[in-house]
Amino acid sequence: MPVTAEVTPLEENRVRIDVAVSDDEVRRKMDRTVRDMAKNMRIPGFRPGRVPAQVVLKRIGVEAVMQQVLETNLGEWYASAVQTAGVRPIDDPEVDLGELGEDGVSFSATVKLPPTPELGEYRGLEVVRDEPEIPEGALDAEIDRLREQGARLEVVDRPIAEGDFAVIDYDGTVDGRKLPAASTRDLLVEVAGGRLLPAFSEGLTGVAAGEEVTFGLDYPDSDQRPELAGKTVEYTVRVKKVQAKVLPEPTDEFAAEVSEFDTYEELRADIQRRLDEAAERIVTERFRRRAIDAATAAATIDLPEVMVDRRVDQILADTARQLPQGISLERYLQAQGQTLDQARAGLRVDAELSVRRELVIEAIVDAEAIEVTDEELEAKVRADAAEAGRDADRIMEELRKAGMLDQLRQDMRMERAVDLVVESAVPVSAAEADAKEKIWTPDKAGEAAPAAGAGQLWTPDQPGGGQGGEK
Amino acid sequence: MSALRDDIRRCIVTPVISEKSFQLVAAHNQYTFRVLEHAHKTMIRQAVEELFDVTVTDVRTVSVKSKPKRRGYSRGVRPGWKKAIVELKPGDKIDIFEGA
Repeated sequence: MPVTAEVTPLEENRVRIDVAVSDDEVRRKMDRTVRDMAKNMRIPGFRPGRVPAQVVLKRIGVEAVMQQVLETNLGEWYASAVQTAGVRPIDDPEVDLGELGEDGVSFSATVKLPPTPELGEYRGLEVVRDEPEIPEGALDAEIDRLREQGARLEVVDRPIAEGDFAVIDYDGTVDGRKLPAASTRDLLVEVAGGRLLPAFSEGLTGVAAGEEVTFGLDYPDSDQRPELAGKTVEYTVRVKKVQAKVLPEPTDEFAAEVSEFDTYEELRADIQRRLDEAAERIVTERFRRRAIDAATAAATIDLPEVMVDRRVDQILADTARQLPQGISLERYLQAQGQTLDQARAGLRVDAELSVRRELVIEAIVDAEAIEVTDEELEAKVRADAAEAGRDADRIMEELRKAGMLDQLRQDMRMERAVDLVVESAVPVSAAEADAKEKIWTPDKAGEAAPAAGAGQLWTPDQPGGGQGGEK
Repeated sequence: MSALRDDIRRCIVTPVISEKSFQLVAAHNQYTFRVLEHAHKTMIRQAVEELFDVTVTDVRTVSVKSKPKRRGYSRGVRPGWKKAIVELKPGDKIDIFEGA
């Protein structure tokens, strides 16, 4: 290991890391730096990029090279020292440079660590569980959607009505001149279907097959086609065919056509089941989140501002990365009518909550000594690989190379901690929770001004500090 | 030290630092110097042996021609100079070439 790190705890969740970089690591980096510098150097007698390292070193001096070495490598050394030391800094370090020379570099970095939350109750929390809710008519809407998909067009012998399809030829003229851009043959259009201009649909309504109709259409000045903008176009439309959309009747044949089910009843039941499942999932997800939130609320954390700031930065950076190319974050926020500062302020609350949640879950992992064995880890990777249809061994190898296995292990640990909280949580209905809230309110007020009697009554549920005062 | 000796050592003006001279050092243990125009091979050998405490096995000299140069209407010439390529006994080294 080219870098050794020694951790000394300081007050207020801070530690000093004394880092020593070995001499051959320093030499290697110096060599590299000199070679890099030589690439861009012009020295008389040498073609650019052909300057020998020794000449460069003599020319610019060891100190200057050292400076450059630090500039490019301090971060890397620091990062590996942090990893060796196994600490997780939450902010940029304060670095004190110590000895600098070809025979090794040493420096000390003082960093802040995340606070250790004081866990409250996290098992057996009472958490509101909503009733699964399926919106009224969701089933019928889904069926209608399927019927819409299976719709057929049938030729009808009647004037066009709204919702009909028509095959038309049309010619457009502006000021008596024909416009080739506004002429088409055998076009299938849906009348009042949203694709046609409303005025065009209106002009077509009531015309029967074989008839011809002429009407004018005003284009607004803002139209994107310059030859049409601000003009009135005279359209002559011949209707060739009128077709009505026929939705299939909800029968067993229809079911067989659009799904793998043989009868309409089965299809209906399946849709109902899927809706139920979706609703159940939402409820479970909400329950889960509330359970974690309750555990988080029960814990006390002295959260440093920088952690929240960092999280906000991270969220913004993630957002920026997801934007399409060529759009900067500033532009995106502008489009949303926000300045950067407003966006930051808006994100702060969420960011703080998520940081708190994570700290609490990590603390639970520690408190419960949750461990994930290598076998479990591998099983998880294999399961994921199977789901993604990829070779498990390859993925395993990739993860190991990228050093992601530990990350994954930590994720799994945290997930188990969450599971623990959620499984032990006691579901209560919203109504029950409301009722409880009302009963408990006076007692909460009582806590603030502890009367001897009330204090005694509630002792078991109160934190230890309250009792200590009375004894 | 006698006045004559002083004079001999002064015939070495400066080492020549260039890609070519470094190649010669690496390939043939030959060191290149700029020397006074009137210096001859014997003087150069003595000077190099005295200055750097090495054994010289061969000296070759080159008169670098002066070149006419022109910038706009002003004409002129770059002075010529004398170059000496000194080969040392295998194992001998001159330190100033270990860097510029």
